Amino acid sequence: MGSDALISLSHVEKVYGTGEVAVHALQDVSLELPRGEFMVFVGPSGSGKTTLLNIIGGLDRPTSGRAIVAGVDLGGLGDPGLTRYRRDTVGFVFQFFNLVPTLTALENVELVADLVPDPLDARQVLEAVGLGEHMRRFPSALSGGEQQRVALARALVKRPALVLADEPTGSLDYETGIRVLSVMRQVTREMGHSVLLVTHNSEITRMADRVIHLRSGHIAEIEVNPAPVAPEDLRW
Amino acid sequence: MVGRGPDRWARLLPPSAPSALSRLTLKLLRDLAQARWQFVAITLVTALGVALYHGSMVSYETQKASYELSYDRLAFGDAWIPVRRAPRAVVAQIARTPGVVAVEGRAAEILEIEQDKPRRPKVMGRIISLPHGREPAVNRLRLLEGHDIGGQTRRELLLEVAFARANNYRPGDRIYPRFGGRRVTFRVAGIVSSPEFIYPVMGNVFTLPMPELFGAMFAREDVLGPMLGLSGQITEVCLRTRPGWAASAADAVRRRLKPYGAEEPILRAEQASNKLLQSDLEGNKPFLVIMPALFLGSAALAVGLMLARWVQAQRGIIGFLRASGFPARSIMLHYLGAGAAIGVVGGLVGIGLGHLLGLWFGTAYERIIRTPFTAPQNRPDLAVTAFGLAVASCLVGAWIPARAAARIVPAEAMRGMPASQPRALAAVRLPLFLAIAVRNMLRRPMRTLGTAAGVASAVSLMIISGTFRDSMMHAIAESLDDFRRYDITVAFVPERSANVVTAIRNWPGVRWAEGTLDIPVRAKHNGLAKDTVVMGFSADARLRVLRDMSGRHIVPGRGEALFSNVLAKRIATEPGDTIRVDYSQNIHGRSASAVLKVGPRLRLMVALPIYMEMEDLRRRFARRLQMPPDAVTGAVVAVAPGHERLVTERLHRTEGVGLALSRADITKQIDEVTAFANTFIAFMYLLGSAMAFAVVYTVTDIVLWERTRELATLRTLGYGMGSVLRLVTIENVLMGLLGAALAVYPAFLMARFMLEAANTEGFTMLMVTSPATYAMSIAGTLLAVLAAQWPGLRRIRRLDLADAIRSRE
Repeated sequence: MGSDALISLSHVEKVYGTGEVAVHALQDVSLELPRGEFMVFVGPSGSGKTTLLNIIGGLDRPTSGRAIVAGVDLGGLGDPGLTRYRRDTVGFVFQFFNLVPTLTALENVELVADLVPDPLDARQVLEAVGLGEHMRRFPSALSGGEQQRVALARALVKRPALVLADEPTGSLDYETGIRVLSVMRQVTREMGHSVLLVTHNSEITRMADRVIHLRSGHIAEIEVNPAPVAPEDLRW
Repeated sequence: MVGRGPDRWARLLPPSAPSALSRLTLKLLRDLAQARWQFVAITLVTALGVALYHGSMVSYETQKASYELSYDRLAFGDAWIPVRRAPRAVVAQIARTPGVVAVEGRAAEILEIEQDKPRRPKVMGRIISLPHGREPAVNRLRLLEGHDIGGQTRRELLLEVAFARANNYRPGDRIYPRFGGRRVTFRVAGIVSSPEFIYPVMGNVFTLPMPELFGAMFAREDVLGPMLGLSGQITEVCLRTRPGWAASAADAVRRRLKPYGAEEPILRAEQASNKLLQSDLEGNKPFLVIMPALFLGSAALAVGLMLARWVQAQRGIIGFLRASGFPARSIMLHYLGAGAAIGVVGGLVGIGLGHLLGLWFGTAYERIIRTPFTAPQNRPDLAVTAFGLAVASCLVGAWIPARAAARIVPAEAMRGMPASQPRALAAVRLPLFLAIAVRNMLRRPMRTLGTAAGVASAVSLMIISGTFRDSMMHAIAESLDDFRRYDITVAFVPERSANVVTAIRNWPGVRWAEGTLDIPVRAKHNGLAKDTVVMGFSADARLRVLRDMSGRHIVPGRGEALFSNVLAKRIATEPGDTIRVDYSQNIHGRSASAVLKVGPRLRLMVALPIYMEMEDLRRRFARRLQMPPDAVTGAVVAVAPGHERLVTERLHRTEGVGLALSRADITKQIDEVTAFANTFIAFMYLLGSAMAFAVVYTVTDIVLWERTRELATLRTLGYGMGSVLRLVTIENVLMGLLGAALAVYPAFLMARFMLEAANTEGFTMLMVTSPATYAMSIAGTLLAVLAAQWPGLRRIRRLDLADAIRSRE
């Protein structure tokens, strides 16, 4: 892939703590991931998938190694640089939504739209995730699935090069989870976004273009899926 | 509050809110709307702090400016030089003294004054001559009612306003000064105010204002001179000098007047009224700082606690905002904004309240002190300072949580952070609910300490206010019931032989009478001097008691001077030092002085007198001043029950009795003087209670919000609201008691500092804090705790349990 890669990691290591209590969350991780794909990090708890997501998202720094995302070398960035990177390049979706409870769905999306010079129209994004009817509701008046779709809209509105989703279905029931994944798949495909989703649910890998298996801080396997299934066909 | 769904209040800013507001600002406003009662409570505390600062500063500056304006417009003197008698012609020579800008010579005398019924029959007055046909060059008068005395009618005088009002005089009324035992009828031409009697006291000897019993009055010198036997002569020279020249000019004038029996000059700083006014102003200064500081400090603490809770509850959101590209500075400014919002609203409300408070202070003070001219201070700079203080204190309170929010690492914020629990606590066996409460307090010791400090500030204010009330009541009770075991105080004009006291002892209804001897002197030590009065005290005195600072009976020994801490400070003495006490010159041209050893300190309500052994005082002063060998200047009289009025009336009819004050008169005067202070203290107590409730409400509500999930879980497990109430109450009461314990010592120190600063030469209190004050302050705080937890408990009762326990901490 070379310079076309969206994500390029080279010998990335992450160690928490020092000495006897040092925990090697990531060990010598090198990979290159292309643009425009729906990618999934999968692995058991403690395999390092969230740590890897945080490094790619500019929330954390590798202890060693090099991480380049969308042409930005994250290793060379200080706090202001990482903040700018997160603002301009990535959008996050979290397991617990983290919506601002005192802002409506629309305002939650606009909160992020205010950050960038050329955002998408917040209403249209909410329409796109199927919340056109509920955009004036506060999060407390939305279901879990609806809240997660607001979170997705919030991630998409600033036209990020990469959407990072950490266990986006982790706190949702099956049907709601499928609905969220479906919207995520559909909207990102239509808008041409790259998506990197972290999950411990191996069933979700069936809808991905590319699956990265992690185990004990290593890349165990990278699997390219020639025929991703529709989210509605997933079962767990 | 925050971290959960908004309620209807948060929706007051509707979803269609103006797009000019950034969404982060909108979030802030809705967060504040949702935490509205905490917002209101902290804003109230801030507003009270600002109001106290602004109101008292405006009042202070108004008083100061009014004195200065009155002094300036009425050419208030810079120095007074009493003389035995000097020819009026000498005034022209004095005018040429270097540094002297204006000079006025006048005749002045203290006289018995008789009055028509229903006024009291006899009072005392200082009658002062005014030049005929022109205004005095120094110490002019402001005519408030009636007309001047420059007309054809000769037997007219002007009455000083405090005396006139206290005795219901109107222009046209009659008044009867006694000149050498002869009663002369004068007509009241007008009511005036004078810069020399703004604080209406008789002089440095009697510093309790008694406008009903003593007054200043002014008559034409061509009328007064012959009546006083002083035709063409003066007994006092008043000077206006160039700035910085008062002492040297006064001294030069005194030297020039020496052949005429000049006494030590009295500089403006020592002039009785001015001295008490300045002393009052200085005494008020600590209140201007400490009380507002206490309120604003509490507000800062409460802001800090509230925002710390917000930051804790919003960790996930902060993590998301940081992950989305909001810089740390924006997060910090966001939470500082909450502090600033409270400061801005509190500041604006406080300035409005402060304006009202200033007016109230002014009106209340005006009842005691009538300045000839008032200069209301409309001071935008003070309002801006007060506003700035409000915002600054709230920003200081917000600083730590805002910085903590800005430092949150987004990746960690997403994971959540369970609070640690010291392992050692697991080994401590306590009843279940007590264990939960104690461990909860110990889990976050800094937070607990902060909360307890908030409660402590409220308790402190109540203890301080209570201490002022206790100290004042104790001083008055001690003075009236212990130090004074007599019913009537008598002043003779002039001094006379003690035979008169022996005669009074035999009157029907009199149980006992003792003579008193008071001589005005100047006390000197180490280059410092203070005008005061030395009082004779006999070892066998039955009706008066002196006590040292520890409350033990004490009598002055021969060659010994006993006085209070206040005078000791003024002339910088310690027990064992020697001081010099001078009487410069009397009408016979005699002077006297003594060197005395300083004895133990005395407890006195009126703080300047020096006590000497009676015979010693007669020997060293009275006889040298050509007074009778057994001289008395007054008497104290104890009467049988029901005889007070009869004896007082007979005293009034007695020749030479200038004043006869009953216990009721003294009590009334003390009540009038302390009325303002009492109201102020009651007001502070009320504010203290309001602040206690606001602070306790804020901290209690925060604790309940933090524990909503835990308490909902308990309810889900089957515990009823009664159990929840018990658990919450145990913890809040423990917090209240911790706060109270933390409050006691700082409150003691602050009260002592403020009381010492508030003690003036006119009124001094020993610090007393009754057990009832401690008990009421602590019980009041605990009651506030119980009341404050009510809204939170009601909320928990109404919680959707399933939703509450599902939500992420």
